[in-house]
Amino acid sequence: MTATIDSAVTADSTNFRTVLSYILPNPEEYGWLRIPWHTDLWEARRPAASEGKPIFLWGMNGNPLGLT
Amino acid sequence: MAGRAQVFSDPEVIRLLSEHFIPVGENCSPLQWQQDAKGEFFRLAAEQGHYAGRTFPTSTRQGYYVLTADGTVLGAHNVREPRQMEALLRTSLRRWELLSAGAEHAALDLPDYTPARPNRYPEGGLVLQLAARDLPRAEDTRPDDWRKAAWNLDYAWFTADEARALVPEARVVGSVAEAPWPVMRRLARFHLRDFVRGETPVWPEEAVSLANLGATVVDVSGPAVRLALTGGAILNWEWRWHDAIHDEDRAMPSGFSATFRGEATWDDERAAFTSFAMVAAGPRFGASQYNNRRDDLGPAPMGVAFVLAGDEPRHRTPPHAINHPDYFAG
Repeated sequence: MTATIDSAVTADSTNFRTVLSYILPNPEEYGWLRIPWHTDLWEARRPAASEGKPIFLWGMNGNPLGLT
Repeated sequence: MAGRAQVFSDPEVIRLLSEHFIPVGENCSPLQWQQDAKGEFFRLAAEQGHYAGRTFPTSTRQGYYVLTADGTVLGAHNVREPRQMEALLRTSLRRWELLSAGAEHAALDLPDYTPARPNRYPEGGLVLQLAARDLPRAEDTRPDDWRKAAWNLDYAWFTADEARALVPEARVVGSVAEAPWPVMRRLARFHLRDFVRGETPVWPEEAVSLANLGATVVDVSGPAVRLALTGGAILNWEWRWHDAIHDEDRAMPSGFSATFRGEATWDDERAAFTSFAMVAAGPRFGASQYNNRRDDLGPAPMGVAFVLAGDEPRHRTPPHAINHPDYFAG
């Protein structure tokens, strides 16, 4: 987004989709979201067993797939 | 935020994780302490890992663990560098191959357990994915590093009844519904925080001096009701905390004045939103203890985007503040 885009969003603004696109992660930024993440360690044990794969757990203070 | 963009955007790391592992992302802070089977399982793994037994300088068990379905750890570390992550994955995979050689894959009969915290995912409700980012500013004095590029994610949950209440009862162009207060309270207190650069507390109730969101019918086509979303919120609070490093009490006035603007489509046959896109944007100022803003006190523009979450498992990630007692308060 260039400095020419009006980032102000007003009640009758028509630019909110431009601002929305700026805020949302671009493809370079969300590459890690292409990984097929599960969200529950306990439940992940089921596909790990049935598919014969190890679990990779990413543990953070704060949710690594959300706000952190 | 910078770490996950770096290590999990590496193409080889993405490929290995996607093809050879069951990747899971969870907040390990409650897992360390919760008294249920899942907490015990996490502690079983963590105490085989890189921080096993550690209590100083902290007792954190953050990091990356590769483990079998029965809890045997094959590798662990807390390093964000892509090549070291690749090495962890490859070494763990080799250990897995040796451990599981000749074994047949079979379904795991997991015992039922009573979760220490109930799963509050709003089945049939409105689940939104959020992103927060600084918006362009006329004079930008931010360092040209992660702070300028920072963005963050969160989720917002609304029950089926709350979702329905956002739609005007009269399916007539021009009719308006004002979002009920429990919805506005949740939006304002929990989801208009400055989380661009890190975690920040939930706004207290007293911080909200204005919060409204109106949905106006702009088109009706069969069961599809298209809505324009408008509104605003003003939040102000003085955060107070103790700086343990300098042994000083800190106080920081903070605020966010946001204008809402968006569009959504409600489907009467599905009794659900089929599209939702909204921005809350405006000037923010101040900082809180952990949101990494003390070098950027503003005022400066910030935006929070709200879009309909998808169907992939990762979109069941709970909101950051889901365990706050007021999150689903009426």
